[in-house]
Amino acid sequence: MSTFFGVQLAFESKGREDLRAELGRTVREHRKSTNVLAQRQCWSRAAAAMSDFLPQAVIGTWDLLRDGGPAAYEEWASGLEVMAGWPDADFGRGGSLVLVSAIFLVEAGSSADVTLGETCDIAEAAFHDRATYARLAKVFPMLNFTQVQGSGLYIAPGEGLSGFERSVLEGEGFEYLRPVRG
Amino acid sequence: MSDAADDFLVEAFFDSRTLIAVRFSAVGVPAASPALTLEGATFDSWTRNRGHDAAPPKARWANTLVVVAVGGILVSIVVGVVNSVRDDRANIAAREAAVRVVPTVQSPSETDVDGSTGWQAGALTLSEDLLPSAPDLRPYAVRILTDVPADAGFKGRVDGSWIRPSVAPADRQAFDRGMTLAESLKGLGASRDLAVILDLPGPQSVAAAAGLADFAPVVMTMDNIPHLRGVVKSHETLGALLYWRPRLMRRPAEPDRPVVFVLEGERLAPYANQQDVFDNRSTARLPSIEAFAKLGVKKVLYVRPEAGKTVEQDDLVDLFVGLEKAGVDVRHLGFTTIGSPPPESYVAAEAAASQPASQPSSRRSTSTYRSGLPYWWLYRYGWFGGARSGWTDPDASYRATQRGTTIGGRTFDGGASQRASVMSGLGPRSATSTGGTWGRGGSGVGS
Repeated sequence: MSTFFGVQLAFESKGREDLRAELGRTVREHRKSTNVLAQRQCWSRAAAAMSDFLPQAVIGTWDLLRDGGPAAYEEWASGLEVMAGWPDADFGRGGSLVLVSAIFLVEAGSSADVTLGETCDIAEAAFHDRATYARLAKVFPMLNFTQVQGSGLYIAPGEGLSGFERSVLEGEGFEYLRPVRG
Repeated sequence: MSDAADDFLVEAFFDSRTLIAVRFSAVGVPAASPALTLEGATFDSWTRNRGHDAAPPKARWANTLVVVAVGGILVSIVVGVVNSVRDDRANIAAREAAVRVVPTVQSPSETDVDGSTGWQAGALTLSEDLLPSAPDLRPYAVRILTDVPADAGFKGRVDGSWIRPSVAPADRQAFDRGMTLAESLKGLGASRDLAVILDLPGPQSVAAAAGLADFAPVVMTMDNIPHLRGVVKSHETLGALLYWRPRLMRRPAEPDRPVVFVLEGERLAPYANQQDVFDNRSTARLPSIEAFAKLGVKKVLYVRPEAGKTVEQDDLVDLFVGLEKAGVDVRHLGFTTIGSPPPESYVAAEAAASQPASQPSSRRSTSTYRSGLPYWWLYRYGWFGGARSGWTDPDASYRATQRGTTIGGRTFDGGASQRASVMSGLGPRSATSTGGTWGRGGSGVGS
């Protein structure tokens, strides 16, 4: 059994043009992180970037699933990766939102799982508070990566497009995204 | 698990205009996510298999999954669930073979530097176009990278191909610095007894060479085979070659000019036998000590990205030490130094050496700078009648010395031993292509 943890945030990139470049760099460097130490370092950087840009977060969601974790992981991964093939028009016109997603699959009952459980022990009313997302981002490098079975970091769109139009992320297929409060 | 071993494998990597992403799975742990296999099924079968109505919201994306060739990254995809995607590397290789992806440049341009789409035809004649016109330089031109468009079956069209020009802001800066270097060398009367070796990240080496090309003959030496997971991002270098090609094709009007050798500065990028990385590292291909002598070279200007970091790359130690022993001056130039104002200490030292000490120091500085020291970064070597004060810095005082290296005398072929299979994977393909090998798919490349 495995536990799924995922965080997805849409950031307004206007005024923070460095946002995507920094996150893009993080992904590219992350690609080299094939050992535990490097994974932790890169997830530290990803967490720092997400925290730094958190004031720009507009809408988001997160999940911690102890039942059906592998299926949820696969669903998020395949759903996100197919965006590599989206035509430009699917992102809308002239948008400036950048969608950042981080997903993890950890060994059930492991200390990483316990850490996630403790981190996600949040009152429902605060599920989508900015402070909650800050807390969630900080947990990335705190995981025991010997117990992480899979992980992924996604930035969409890439640097070739300006961003998502807001109406796209509020429309079909993204109904689960909620305004980030506070 | 140790820190040094590979604990994770890259299962997916995307770097396109619509998505930048990386996904890992732990080694030895059953893959939680089913592999994406890219054969057989169609969009419709995927929809049926998954059950459109039952899919939660995020699966809408998956339901749009079709065969794509978008944004320079070519992915022939249909999803199916593989039941036994597990911890053995054969399966990983098989998955990689199925996920057919090619490199994609970071800063694509539809046109070349002249705003022309002529590069599409020019890509097929790149090697010939960039060959030096001087017969004595031609043997040193390496055409492995410049032959890639033709070898990979590029059809002279953008559609469906990853081959395209590329230019990043850093490359434009490099071009400007190349032009500044050309102007300064011209102003100082530099001649054929000087060789300039550009050892910068590939695209910047190319751009700087483009800035120098109508002043000095340029010799391309890059030989790294492009690959999506290459240690060396030589597809970016190829993109730069396509972008700057019109400038690189310019030829100096006069024969007695310095010669410029262009190296891929990332050719020895770190690599630790990672399973998911294609080893396309290479060692520099430069003339021998004897050949430099035959070319009449007495001075070598070794251009690296940063001033003060004067250690030459490991594959150049023996050559540079040998050149020094043969009486050839080898000096270091930090690329960012080009066009920069001289350090105050330099100005002061030069002023003190050339003017009466009774003058006010501020006047000395101004006077000295205006009297011809904007090329201070070249004067300091003492090659052009400068260095009157004896002022020096790490770049100016650099001398190659024998030292141990990480490569220990080994040479690397840029991935040439796997050239055929890699070229096969880099070629154009139909949207539903399946099978075959891609890069390391089952062939053990990079392992």
